[in-house]
Amino acid sequence: MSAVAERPNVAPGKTILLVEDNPDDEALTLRALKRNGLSHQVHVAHDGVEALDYLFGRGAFAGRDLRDQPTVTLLDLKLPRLDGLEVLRQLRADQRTRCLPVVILTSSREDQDLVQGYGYGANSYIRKPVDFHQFVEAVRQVGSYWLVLNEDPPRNAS
Amino acid sequence: MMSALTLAVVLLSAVSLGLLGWALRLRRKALEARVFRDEPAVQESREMAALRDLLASLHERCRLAQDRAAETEHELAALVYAISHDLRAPLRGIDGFSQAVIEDHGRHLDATAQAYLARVRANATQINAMIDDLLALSKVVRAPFRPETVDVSTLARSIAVELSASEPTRPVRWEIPANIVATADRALLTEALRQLLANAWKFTSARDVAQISVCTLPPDPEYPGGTVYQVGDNGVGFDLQYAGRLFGPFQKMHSPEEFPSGRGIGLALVQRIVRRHEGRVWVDSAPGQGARFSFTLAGDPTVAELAGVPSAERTTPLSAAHGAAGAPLSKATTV
Repeated sequence: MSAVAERPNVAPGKTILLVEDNPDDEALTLRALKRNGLSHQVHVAHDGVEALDYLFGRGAFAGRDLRDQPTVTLLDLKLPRLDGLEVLRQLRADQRTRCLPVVILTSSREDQDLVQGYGYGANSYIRKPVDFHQFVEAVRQVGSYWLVLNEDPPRNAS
Repeated sequence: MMSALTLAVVLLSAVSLGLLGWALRLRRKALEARVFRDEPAVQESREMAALRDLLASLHERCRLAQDRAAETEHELAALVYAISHDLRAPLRGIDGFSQAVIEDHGRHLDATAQAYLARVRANATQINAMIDDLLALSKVVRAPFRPETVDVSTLARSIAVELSASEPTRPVRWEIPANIVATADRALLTEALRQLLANAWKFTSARDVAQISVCTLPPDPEYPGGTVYQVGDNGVGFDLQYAGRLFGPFQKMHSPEEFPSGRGIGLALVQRIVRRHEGRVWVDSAPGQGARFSFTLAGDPTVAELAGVPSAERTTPLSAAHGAAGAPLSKATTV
């Protein structure tokens, strides 16, 4: 794989919320996004509470313009304070965020996580590959699908 | 007057004492007679009481064992989840940051340093594959068990087709007669057959014409448990002397130079699948003489009879923990 991947043709204003507590995984995910020309559009939340604060515009993010929601949220499952499934449940229960595309991005390939993840309304479930080349490729595909190919839900639907 | 009264009292006393003594004698005799007569009944009721106590204590021990099994199962599930999720994150770090060094600083590294980093990454990849293997093992142990009639011939033939398609140019003579059936969990038996046939496929790779067979044999008197199913090949075989731990995870009989693929998980899977059927697996082989893996898919009926397990309950093996203790049984180690 070449060091500099083809930059996907991402429209301005499209952003990614990365919910990730592990600093190594965060660095690697950002590196993989950077490899794919997507790193400047990322906001990182480090636990479930911070993710919900960001998405609902409360706590440290009080007053954030909620029309500016992430195009896609990459959600880890195992998170401090509030785990990923609970974050997902609360997003789906709220009119403002129930249609936001959420991609579970996790190390787990346990059936129970898949079942619960989809059951709680995840749009996609991606297992983080251990191999970094595969990881970069997975991030490239996720990025190009959700930021380029996929049509966002209408704003008034979120 | 006084003396007459005294005499009367004395006489009455004497008569009363006599009567009393007689009555006591009678009573003792009656008691003796009754004790003698009732002795077997008393003994029997004592035995009954002892049996009742024993039964109660067995019930209690059984309940405790079940509690402990459930607890173990719960802990196993938690451990598996931790392995599945938590061990992969640091591995991804090892692989990812090694790759980052290669990408960002590769031009400052000589060939040896680059090769070392490649080895670091290869090791991370291997640990990841081993985690997958351990999860596969735990899945086999925890999977639901639903016995049904399975057409083993059709199953084995479809696996043979898959294997042949993976290397279409290899000349392999498959001998899989029709009408082999088994009562087994289909998913588990499929996995076991896939592992055994894939092994046969791999270890016959150097043969001019590989021969791989699936057949049944009559019940083995040494290992009762119904029909014996056997997967045989004419491959490289191995020395049974070193086969003691053949069915343990990550045990290999051949060096990575000889057979680079495989991490020694297949037979461990097979053994656990056979155990879940309460069956046994064993192997017969010699260097250069191929290998014959035999297994049964049912427990020893006489053991079940002695244990007083009703026949209806015998069709479903106990929990995953059943038979987990003890050395893997292989003819290699017992003969």
